[in-house]
Amino acid sequence: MIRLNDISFAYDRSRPVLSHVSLQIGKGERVGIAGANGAGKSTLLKLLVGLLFPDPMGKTPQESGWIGIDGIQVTKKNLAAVRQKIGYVFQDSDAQLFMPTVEKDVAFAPKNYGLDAVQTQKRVEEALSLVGIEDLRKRSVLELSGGQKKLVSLATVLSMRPDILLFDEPTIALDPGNRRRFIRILPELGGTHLIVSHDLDLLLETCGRIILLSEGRIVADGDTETILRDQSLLEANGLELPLLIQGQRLASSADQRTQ
Amino acid sequence: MDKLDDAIRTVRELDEADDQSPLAKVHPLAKLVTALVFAVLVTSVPKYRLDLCFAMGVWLYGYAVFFRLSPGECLRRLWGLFLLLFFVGITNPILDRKVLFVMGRVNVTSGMISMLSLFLKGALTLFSAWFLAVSCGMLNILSALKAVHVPQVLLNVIYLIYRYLTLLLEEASRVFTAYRLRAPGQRGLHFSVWGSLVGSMLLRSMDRAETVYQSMELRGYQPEYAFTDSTPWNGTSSLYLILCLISMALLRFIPIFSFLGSLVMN
Repeated sequence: MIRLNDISFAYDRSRPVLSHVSLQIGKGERVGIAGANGAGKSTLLKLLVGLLFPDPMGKTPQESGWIGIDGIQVTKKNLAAVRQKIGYVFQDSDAQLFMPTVEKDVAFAPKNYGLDAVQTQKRVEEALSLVGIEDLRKRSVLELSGGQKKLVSLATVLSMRPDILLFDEPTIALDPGNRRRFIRILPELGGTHLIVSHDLDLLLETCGRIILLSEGRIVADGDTETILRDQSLLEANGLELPLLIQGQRLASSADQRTQ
Repeated sequence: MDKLDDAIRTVRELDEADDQSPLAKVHPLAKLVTALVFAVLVTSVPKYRLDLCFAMGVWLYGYAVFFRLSPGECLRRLWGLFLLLFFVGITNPILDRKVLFVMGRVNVTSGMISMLSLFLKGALTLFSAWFLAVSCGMLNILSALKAVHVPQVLLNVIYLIYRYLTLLLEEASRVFTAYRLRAPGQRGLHFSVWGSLVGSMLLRSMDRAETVYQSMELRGYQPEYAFTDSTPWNGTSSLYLILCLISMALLRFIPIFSFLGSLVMN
């Protein structure tokens, strides 16, 4: 379970990125985080994995809130334990991939966690086959297309067998085919998923719950269909209805006109 | 700009070298020991013994031919370093003018011989380092260094610099491509933008390095990264090491070329 209790954060004290955010995400839940640019979505993910820490905002650290992952508080001391539970797929795949070949990149985490060569290889095979990129294993990461890089990034995280997967704009720069492939793979991965995206159609298809962020605050948290069909709510927070819903509305209004 | 792409390609080739080399089945430690012993033997050749330098050169050439390594590629990639080697002993002919023999109408001095031998020694060491790099790959070299108990902190520094180098080259390539596309017809960089361009390139590459490091940390990277051996030590490695060491030592300590020369003279 993920718990955020009264979390605030600011890169620059005069402009808070997150203000008093509290939420709970249960085991196995698939949650989408939506919001306009600068709403604090990516910052929220970075706080969860301890790349950033909650800002005291003038208070004592105890008052600045806390984050718990499966009962472990995210602190500098507990980072190793927390990070073993969480896999974070970066928005920029180029930043995530740094080893010479796909196979070596996927093997990086198991090796670091002290697995022997046989177990590491097993994890690599498992991750590559889950994502369906066994044919890329010997390829240099620099030679891959954007879509392939995204899938490899996912495999590098899956080889850790994390309980929680965080995705930062997973479909950005993916062509429709690779986007569809990603959506198909997602339910097979298991565990708890937290997906930050502007692609509301993706969230509509893959998430049961949506958290809408605006200027660092949660403005809505609930059922995906309900929130993503609320045009005025979305527009008030710098978003638009998902294309799928726009299409449905157009179709139904066309139907009404023909009747 | 093309040079930058070329450099990125070189680094990439070095990254993949261990998988493609005919020496792939040999343990990296055997290759590292061979390269180190070769460097020691070559540099220990007395400065007037050109014959021994040639003998070591013949050994290295034979090694390159046998394992399908390309000395030409090394020359092409490292020509700047070879050029620098010429300057290493440049003062020797001036300072050491003792005439050893006369070749035609030229007095060959000991300074000339020592300059040539210094150049040869440097060149041979460079070739052997290059052959090690292209037959091992950086990670395998690091795992071999770990096996000989080189301090972990040093290995980490080498590893991170090596990774940063790739990022720096990639960022440089992007920045210069963006510049070139907006400065058509211009050859090279105008000096007025050197400062800002280099500054922006460094900042961008540092930013990317930070993100890459975060990604490494999130996947369990600790300062003591496990540079594990991808190739186990096997019979081939032992055979390779023994044969290389024996043949090198023979050529280094038995003056075959002097012997052949004296036969011809007699």
